[in-house]
Amino acid sequence: MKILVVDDFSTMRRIVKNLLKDLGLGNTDEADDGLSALSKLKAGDFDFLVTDWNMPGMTGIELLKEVRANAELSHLPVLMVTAESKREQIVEAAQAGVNGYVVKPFTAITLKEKIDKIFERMAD
Amino acid sequence: MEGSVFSKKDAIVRTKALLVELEAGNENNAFDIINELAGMREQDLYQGVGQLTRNLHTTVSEFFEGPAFDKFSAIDENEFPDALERLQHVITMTEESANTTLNAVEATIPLANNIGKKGTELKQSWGDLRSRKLSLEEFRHLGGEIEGYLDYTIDMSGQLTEKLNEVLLAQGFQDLTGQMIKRVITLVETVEETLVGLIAVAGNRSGTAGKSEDPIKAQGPALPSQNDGVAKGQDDVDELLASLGF
Repeated sequence: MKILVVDDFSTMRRIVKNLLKDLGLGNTDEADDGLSALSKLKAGDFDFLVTDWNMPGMTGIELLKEVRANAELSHLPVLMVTAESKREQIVEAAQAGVNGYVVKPFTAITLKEKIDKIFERMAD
Repeated sequence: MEGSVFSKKDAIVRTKALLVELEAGNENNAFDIINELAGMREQDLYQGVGQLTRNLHTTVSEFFEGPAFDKFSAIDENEFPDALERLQHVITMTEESANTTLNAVEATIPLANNIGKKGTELKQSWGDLRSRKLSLEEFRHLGGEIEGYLDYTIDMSGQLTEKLNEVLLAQGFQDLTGQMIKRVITLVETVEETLVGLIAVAGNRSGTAGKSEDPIKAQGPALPSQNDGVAKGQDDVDELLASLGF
C-alpha cells in the first residue's frame, strides 16, 4: 500500500506520515502542492491519496478533480484532510468524488476510522 | 426651503411687480427685477455651499483632533515593517517548535516500542520458568536477561524523560508568538478605527454592496466566531456527508 501525502506545510505532512506509520502504513511519499502531487501520481503506482485543500499552485479540490478526470487515476481513493469546513466546500468535495473528509484539527482515531471505512468500502 | 434667502413670499411679490412693469412697458425696471430674482437664487446657492463647507471643515478638524487620529499619528513609521517581521517570525517559531516536537516524538516512539517488545519476550521466558520448563543453563541466561532489561528500562526512562522535556520546552512558542500577535492586533485595530473614522468623514455610502465570493474558495481554518454554514468539527462533517448519502 503506497500512499501519497499532500500538504503545503511540512510539519503537517510529518504528522500525517507518522500517524499512517502507526497504522502500519509506512510506505509513503509526499508532495507540497497539487501540481507536484499530480506528476508524482502519474509517475508512481500509488494506492491511496491523502490531500490538504488550501495549497498554493493547485489546490486539493482541483487535484481531486484532475484525479477523477484522469483515466489512469480515476479510481484512486482520496482522503481530504483540511481546515476548510464550509458546508459548500464539503458538498463540493463530495460531488467531486472524495472518499473521505477529515477536518483539522483531527485525532489519530478519526484518521484511522476514515481510512478503515474507505478500505471497507473498497473491499465491498 | 426654511431659512432660505430665496423666500417664496419675496419671489411672488417680485414676480407680480415684474408683470406690472412689463405691462406698463417699463423694460428697464423689468430687467432690474429679473436681475434681483437671479441674484436671490445665486445668493441662496452660495449660502448652501458655504454651509456645507463649514460642516465639512468642522467634521474634518474634529476628526484630525480626535482620539482616533491621535492614536493613528502615534504609529511609528517602523511599526508596519515591524508587524510584518513579527508575523513572519511567528511562522518561523511555530515551525521550529513543531519540528522540535516531531523530532522528539519520532525518537521516542521506537524507544517505547522496544521496552514493550523486550518486556513481552521476557514475559514468555518468565512463564516458562514458572511452569518449570527451563534448564539450569536457560535459567542462568534468563537471570542475565532480566538484569539487562532492568538496566535497559532505567536507561530508556532517562531518554524518554529527556525527550518529553524537549516537547515541554518547545511549547514556549505559544507565549512568545501570542505576545507578538497581540502587538500586531493592536496596530491593526488602530488602523481600522482610523479608516472607519475617515469613511464617516467622507460620508461615502456607495460601494458598500458586498462582492460575491466564490463559495468554495479555500480560506483556511474557520474562526471560532464563524457560524453560518461552517461545520463545527468532524461530527458535523460526518453528518453532512451522511445526509448526502455518503
